[in-house]
Amino acid sequence: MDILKKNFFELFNIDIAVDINKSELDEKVKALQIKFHPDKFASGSDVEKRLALQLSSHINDGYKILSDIVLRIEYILKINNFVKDESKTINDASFLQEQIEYNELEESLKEHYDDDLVRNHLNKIKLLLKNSIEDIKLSFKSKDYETMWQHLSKLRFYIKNINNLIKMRKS
Amino acid sequence: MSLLQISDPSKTNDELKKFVVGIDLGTTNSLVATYYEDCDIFDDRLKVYKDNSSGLIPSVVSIDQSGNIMVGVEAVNNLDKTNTTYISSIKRIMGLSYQDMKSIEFINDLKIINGKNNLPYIDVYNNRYSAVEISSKILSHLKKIAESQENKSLDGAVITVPAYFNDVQRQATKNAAKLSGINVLRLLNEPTAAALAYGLESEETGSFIVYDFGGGTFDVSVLSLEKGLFKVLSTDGDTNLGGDDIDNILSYWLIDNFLFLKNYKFSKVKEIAKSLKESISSINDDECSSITIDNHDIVLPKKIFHELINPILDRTFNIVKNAIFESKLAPADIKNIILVGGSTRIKCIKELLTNKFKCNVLNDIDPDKVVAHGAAIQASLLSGNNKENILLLDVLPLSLGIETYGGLAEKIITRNTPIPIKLRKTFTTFKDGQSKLLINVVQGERELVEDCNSLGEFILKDIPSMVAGGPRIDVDFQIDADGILSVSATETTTGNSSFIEIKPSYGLTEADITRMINESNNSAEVDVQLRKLNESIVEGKRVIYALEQALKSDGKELLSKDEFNIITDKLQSLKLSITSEDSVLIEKNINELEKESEFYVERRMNNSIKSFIAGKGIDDIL
Repeated sequence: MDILKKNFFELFNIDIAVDINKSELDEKVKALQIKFHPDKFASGSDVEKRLALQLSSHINDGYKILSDIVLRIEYILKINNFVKDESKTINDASFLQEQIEYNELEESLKEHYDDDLVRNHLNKIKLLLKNSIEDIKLSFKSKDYETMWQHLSKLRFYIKNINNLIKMRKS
Repeated sequence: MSLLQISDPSKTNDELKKFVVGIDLGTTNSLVATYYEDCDIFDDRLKVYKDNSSGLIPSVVSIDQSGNIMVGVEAVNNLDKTNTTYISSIKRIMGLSYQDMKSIEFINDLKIINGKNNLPYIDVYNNRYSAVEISSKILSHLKKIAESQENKSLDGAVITVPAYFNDVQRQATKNAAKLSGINVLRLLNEPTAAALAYGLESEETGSFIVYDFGGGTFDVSVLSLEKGLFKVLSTDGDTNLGGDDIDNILSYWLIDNFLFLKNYKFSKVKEIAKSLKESISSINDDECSSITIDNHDIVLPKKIFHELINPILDRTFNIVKNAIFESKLAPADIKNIILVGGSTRIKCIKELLTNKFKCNVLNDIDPDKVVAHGAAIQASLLSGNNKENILLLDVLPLSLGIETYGGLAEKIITRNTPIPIKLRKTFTTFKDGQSKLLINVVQGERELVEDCNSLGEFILKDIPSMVAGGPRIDVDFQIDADGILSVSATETTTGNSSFIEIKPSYGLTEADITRMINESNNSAEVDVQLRKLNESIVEGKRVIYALEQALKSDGKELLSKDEFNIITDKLQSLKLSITSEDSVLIEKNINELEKESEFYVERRMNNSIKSFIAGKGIDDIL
């Protein structure tokens, strides 16, 4: 089916953008699933069943990707044919410094947990995260995918750190 | 002689209406039911078929020394008979390996042996039975009951499974159905079935928890219910936690406190425990449940009962908490908890849940019947008998992974991902000229492969000879709406579809099932032929009807004149052959027509999704 070759933004009929309207996406996906889920073809022919399974899997896959910010940005880069060797690290001295500082923070927290410190850092990282998303939007606007990719690495790093710190707070 | 069918002219295609049922294949009891969507009286819509006067059919099989097999109520009557083996709770070992079995509490008087491929077999007077075979005896019995009461042969069934069943357990259930000659429309998760029954009855919307505490399994699902869509957000559970465990704990307590019971068969003590448990909910907290056995009075104070079962209930509450966390909802978002399963008849569960989770606890629909009720509705939806626009979206209960270097499991599809879902992974070789590749697929949440459940080894053969790292093999892991995995592979540099061989880690292979079906098929050849002919006629009529409808609506638009003619020619040949009473010819014509019209079906699907994307909103289809 050539519909499977369309990108997910086209499939769900929404604009290609870093930010998406989650409830709009939910509605579109819901409408598609209600119409094309394999259950709707349970008494159909084998061909219909096979196509519905493919289509429905594709819709679920698209939903998973578009509803997650990191996966969504990776996907935008992919449909713009930007491929980067993931093993390469980015060349940014201040980001490197951030990474070293964060690792030190985590080490010291493992030895001696300090909830105030964790909370402060969470707020700090959340701000950095917001900024990196803004940077990603700007670079996407100017079609500078290289810069977009670099900011994406930062975004991933911040999300990972936030999750780690929240986990620490819980335990 | 068959009766002349008089159909209601207001209802079109009555002859295409199918006889479908929902089957709740439980650990302790099973139910088989059908749903009359057209019935005006709501309470009469569900028809539960009865085995001797009871709709709750014991999931019990008895086998005597000469190999006679009894199922259900008749089997229960054989409990005390000598020279008869009594098999209950078979669901607990469905899809388990011999090693897995040792880690669970499957207590009874059965002799279990390790058979071919690590599959446990029950040895009954030197005959061996796998769990799949025993389960298929129960399913055959249910099928027979429904068919004989309707005097029709069954077209299909929705069979329920615990949401937390893994791929192997689901496959085992499907195989059991295959063995008993049941066409499985869908494996449906038990809590989802219950939610469907409640959702349709109450027409309520919002977020729900289904607390399904059955005879041998515990499941919990968090769902959101809205108009036309029942969506599972998360699911969790324990496939070896149920009322059976309560009976076991009570039985130990009885044996410890009433020494004469030491001389009884364990299954007999368990029956005593069960009846004490069943009577305890109707008495006050400071009273005792009692029973007299062979002139001995057995007394169980309710307080002690609560103390005994508390550790089990706590386990279930922790699973509920985890499922809420996984659903990403706040506990305050949850509106109702639906109680499902016979074990929720224990009264204190309702009180404890209300206090712990601060929401409404619903048990208006008989907790024993609600799963079969939902399954029967789903069967009528899937068969097309019921045209209501309702969709169930379920999730993968356990993460799927592949074994990587060092015995680690790399997750490729995480649990609670909506299904169906497909994931593609690209593999390559690490030696020059390597022609085979082995992929071990596992299911579970733990990091080490040995802590997960191996689903089987997939061997990719005939990889073209290239330098190491040269071949690119795309492997597709497809999970269907039943939650069952299939794997396919293509070598992309040459375009070869690599041949895949699947070796289940344990259990029955496809070939085993086919052999068993052939062996069990001892009915007269004439019957088989007649049945085949009927099936092919029904199938042929269905294909003709569907295609004619399609051609009428868009045949002229989507097909060139030549294409249109080729399809209508094939359609005519099929129509002619329907009257021929030759099932081989009919099937041949069905296949040809389907093959010839495949591109048309694809074009229609493509077209409908395109026009769908282009404009219509959700309101247009509801």
